[in-house]
Amino acid sequence: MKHKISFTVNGEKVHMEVEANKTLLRMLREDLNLTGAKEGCGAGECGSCTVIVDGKAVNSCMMLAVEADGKDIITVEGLAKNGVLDPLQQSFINNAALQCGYCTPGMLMSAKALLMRNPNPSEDDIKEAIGGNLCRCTGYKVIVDAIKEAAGQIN
Amino acid sequence: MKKFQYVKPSTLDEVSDILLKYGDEARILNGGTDLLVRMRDKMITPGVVVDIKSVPELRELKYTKEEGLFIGAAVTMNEVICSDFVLERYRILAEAAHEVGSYQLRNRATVVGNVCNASPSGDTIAPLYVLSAKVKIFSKDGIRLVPIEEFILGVRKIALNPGEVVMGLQIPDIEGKSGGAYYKHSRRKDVDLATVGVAAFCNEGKWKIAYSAVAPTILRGHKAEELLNKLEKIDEETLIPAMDAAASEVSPISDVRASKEYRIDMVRIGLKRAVLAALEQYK
Amino acid sequence: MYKYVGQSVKRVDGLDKVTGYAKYVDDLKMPGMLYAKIKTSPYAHARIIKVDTSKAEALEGVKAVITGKDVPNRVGLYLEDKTFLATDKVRFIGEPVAAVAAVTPEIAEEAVELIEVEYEELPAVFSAMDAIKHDAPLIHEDLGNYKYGSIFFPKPGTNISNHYKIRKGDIEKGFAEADYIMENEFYVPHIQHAPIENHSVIALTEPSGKVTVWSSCQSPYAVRKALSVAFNLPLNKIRVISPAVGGGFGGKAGTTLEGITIPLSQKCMGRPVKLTYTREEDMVCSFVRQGCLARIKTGVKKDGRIVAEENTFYWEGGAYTEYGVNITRAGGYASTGPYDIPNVKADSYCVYTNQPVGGPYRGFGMSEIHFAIEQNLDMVAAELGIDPVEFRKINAIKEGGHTVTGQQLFNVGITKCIEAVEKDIEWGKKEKPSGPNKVRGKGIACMYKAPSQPNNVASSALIKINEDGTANLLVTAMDIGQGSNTALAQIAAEVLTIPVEKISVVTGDTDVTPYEWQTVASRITYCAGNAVKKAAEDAKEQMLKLASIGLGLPAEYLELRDEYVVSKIYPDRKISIADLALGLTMPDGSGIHGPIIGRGSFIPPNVRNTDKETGQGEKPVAFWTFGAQAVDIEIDLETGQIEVLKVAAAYDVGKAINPQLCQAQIEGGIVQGLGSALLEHQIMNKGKVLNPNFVDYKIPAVRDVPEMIVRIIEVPEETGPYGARGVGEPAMVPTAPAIANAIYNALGIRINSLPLTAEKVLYAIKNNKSVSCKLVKNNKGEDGEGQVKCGIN
Repeated sequence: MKHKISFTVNGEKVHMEVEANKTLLRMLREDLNLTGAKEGCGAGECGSCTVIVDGKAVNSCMMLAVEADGKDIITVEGLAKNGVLDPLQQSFINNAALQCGYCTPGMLMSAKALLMRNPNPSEDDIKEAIGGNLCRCTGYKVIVDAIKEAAGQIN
Repeated sequence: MKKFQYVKPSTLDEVSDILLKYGDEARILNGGTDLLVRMRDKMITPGVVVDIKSVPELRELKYTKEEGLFIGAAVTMNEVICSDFVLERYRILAEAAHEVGSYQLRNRATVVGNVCNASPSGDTIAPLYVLSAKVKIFSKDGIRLVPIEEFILGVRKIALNPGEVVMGLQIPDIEGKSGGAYYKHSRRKDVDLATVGVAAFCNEGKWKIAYSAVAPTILRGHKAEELLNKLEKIDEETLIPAMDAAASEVSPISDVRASKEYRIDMVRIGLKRAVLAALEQYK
Repeated sequence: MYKYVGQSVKRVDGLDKVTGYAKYVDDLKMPGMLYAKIKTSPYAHARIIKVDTSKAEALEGVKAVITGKDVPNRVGLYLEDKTFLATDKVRFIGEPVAAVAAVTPEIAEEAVELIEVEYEELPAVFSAMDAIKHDAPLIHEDLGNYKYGSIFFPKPGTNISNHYKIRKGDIEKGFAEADYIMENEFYVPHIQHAPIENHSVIALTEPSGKVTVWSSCQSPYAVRKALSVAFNLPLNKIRVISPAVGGGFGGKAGTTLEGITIPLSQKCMGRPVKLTYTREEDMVCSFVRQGCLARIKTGVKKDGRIVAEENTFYWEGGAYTEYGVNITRAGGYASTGPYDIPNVKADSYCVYTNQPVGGPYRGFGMSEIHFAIEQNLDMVAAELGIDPVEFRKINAIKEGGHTVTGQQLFNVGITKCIEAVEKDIEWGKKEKPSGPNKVRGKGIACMYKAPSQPNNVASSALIKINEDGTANLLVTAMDIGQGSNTALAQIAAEVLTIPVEKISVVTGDTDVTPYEWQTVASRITYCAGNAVKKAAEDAKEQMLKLASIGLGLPAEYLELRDEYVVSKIYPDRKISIADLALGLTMPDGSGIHGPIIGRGSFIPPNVRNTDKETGQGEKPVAFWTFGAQAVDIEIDLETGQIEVLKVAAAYDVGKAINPQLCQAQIEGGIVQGLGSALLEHQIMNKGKVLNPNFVDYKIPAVRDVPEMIVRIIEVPEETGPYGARGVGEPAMVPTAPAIANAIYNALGIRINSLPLTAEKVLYAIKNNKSVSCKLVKNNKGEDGEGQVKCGIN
């Protein structure tokens, strides 16, 4: 049975019909072509599916698509505005805070959610925000540096 | 995931009706961080999934002197961690909630969900034991309060009758001086299940201890408590008998995370660390 | 000195990745796409009696079902011992047995459950030592009939698929000369690559029979070759495309699941079939890093010189060792580590076990053997009373020294690396623990690695100069995160003087981009880099020739400068690269030559086979990379938990084409090394992986990361582009043994197996149980002291 839902994604209003057994992650990737969020484990452990729902970072593989009804969702595709990169995105590039790039959308969204609620985070706050985002390539130090730098720029 | 029917009632009555109608076929969707994993792995295949997050009472997080702390079923871990009155008066609970999963997970996972899952290693449960929490349960026949120790019966087994819905947790107000701490031992610093957990809470000189991940359910540490309550001075030396008592009153298993022997060792150390940390919070 | 090489140019693929635009295989959607799912074996070793797919085929929405019958050909990179689906037998729990393609993933899952397989269980073996016993059940009875590369030595009738030997000097004489002899044993268990992107592939078969495969893979051409053999298809009828790859670490080298999708797509003509592994399938059904039992016997003089060493390595290769045989070989020809030892006997055995398939994992055997070698060194040094750093300096290969195969080396950077980390970790300075019940310790470990590739591996590159002066660089070197697109563009830019941002790198399409053997072995900067440099020089030569005609000046008087061909003496005599791109237009309007296409092909020069019996050879590898790491740790005596506070790393990379990306590789490698040291272990029970998920297979997260000090040493490799060597794999090799050595420094206790879990450390502390040196004898024939149990934890 399909459920009618309405929500906003990256500022755009969306109306859809979804099956109950579809996760938010799969709906974003398959039905809305927003393939930035990735399915690294499907079990809420790796964070590569992180998106922002009503201002909060969540693992979209752990949410049903139907639960998106009435929500405001931001994905990595919504970070840059009019071709201008978000300071976080620019800072990731500057600091070589990405290699294979697969964890990057999730990292950016965890970081974005952090800066949205706390524009002046400590190193501890940053590590808490991305503690659930696994990266196999970078060794994390450059990612923490990049987030620090972006926070400094915003202030 | 196999197909299922998704329903989103807005009152407790409706939730109860659905649970009565579908019995074992129905599962409650709250934070979903446990349900969805089990459904993905096909460990459970419910025909009906009941999303309770639209029931307003379940979102309540409040404190009154008379009733103490109420944590509604749909209140998330992060909401508990950020709450001023939880941090002020029930800090052990905030610390334990902070140990659960990742930041993203804590935006969805709920304390009540942690309790109702009744996993042997649920991080918030041992603190709830030492805080003497009660589970507030709604049914058509009325509301009842069950001490949490009586609510959790075994691994994933809770004392809920058909049609009953957990509304939240009621934790009594704390009078006088108190301090609590939750020591969690895990393989990795962040985002890991507890290999062993020890919750210690002292209120006006009386200690309550609870252990997680060392038995099918959370265990109260009666032997350790008895010895602690007799102590005039608490330090590394005087704690040794209580540490030994703790080690003797748990019966962990060996699994992929740790051996039985190591868990017992960590309970010994955990008792000390939790008690000393609780004393640091004591005010 | 250089304008682009040696600069920390920003990643050319950074923008696509930070915007979420980069497409990985599972992101690709195609019209009519079908979804595949595999059925796997529940038995470690069993004969397949019957496979009944009728119920699955009858399920609505199912378009194809295949079994081993559809994919019978054996394939393999070095030894053709595997099939993409099990045919006669299953040899490990998790081996794919059948596969389904359906219109939705859910239907495919349902169909898989409807496939019925009847097995006859067979006795199985789960360790190398059991598998080599005389009466062990044979896992590959047909080993004698498999095709294999001539540099491998399988033993038909046994479970040994390769035995590599080193016989250098005179081992008996060496031990006779020694003042002390020590024997030690070490074990490294299976671990998993755990790239954040799971294996994923799409296959499409056209009516002409042409097959297109999109695969998250490190080596499109290797995939093409394997598929050609597996399906009797000519190479020009197979196209392999690799879009963005979300991490490989070796697990996406060679082929894993590509061959499963092709027969499915052949049955669903014209419809793409996508197979993406779940995390659980990825951890079990693709590649794992094999386990290794290492025994080292060392003969040493009182002054610290090692005069004889006997290494025996038993590799738990898993059910198929088509790739693993070469890891065994690499372990063999690097067997002593970066030390100059005159008498060496090494035997490296690749052993079949009924466990997941061992394959290439970052380090290709080096992490496994160095865990043994570097701890062994410290143990020998301790017996002699010599400081571990000094001991390494004494024995490290020096300029003009020799490796274990007798190769003489020049431009050797190992001592510089040791000195760098010695300084950065403040070796010898005792640090204060952060509290009671804590201790501090420091440890050091070195490493070396050469690309473990066939001697004649080839790379190639094409450069097309566009008529506006920009360029397209075509290579099949894959950027799997390491930054090859950027580094190769920098090399091209340096030769052509075209800025990096004006060079577009096109990769990963066997119909379009020219041959590259594989993106493995830390070989791309060196091999593909050389090919790119040659292609750029070829383009440059064409442009200089044309410009010479156009300017009326001899080509030797011309050079490329800032996107122009310019006279060296008269800077106003010039022609832009743009104006030469499509040939030279003459004053009378005619044109000559045509488009500038630079071609570069490269095979490492002069790399030759070693002797079958002695393993000796003058140049068995293209180059060596040396490195060292030192760590500073704190141990909690009550829990056994280890906190790695600081890691100092130094690598001789020859020339860092891009220092920022080079440092990034090293930092990532340190953390991955830390994971293998402290956290990672594929826990198996009778061949069943008990932790195939991130809940119980823990890899490092942000809070596990220590302070890292990275030094890039540059002792140029003569044959490398601008002197460059490789560094991707070396980056993670020494971390685990350095930590093990630090544990000894802190506690006086040896732990000879990985991972160095808190539980093992606490057990060792409580029981004061070391598995330290078994001092066999000193050379006077007297029984040594300090005999402690020498076994595997």
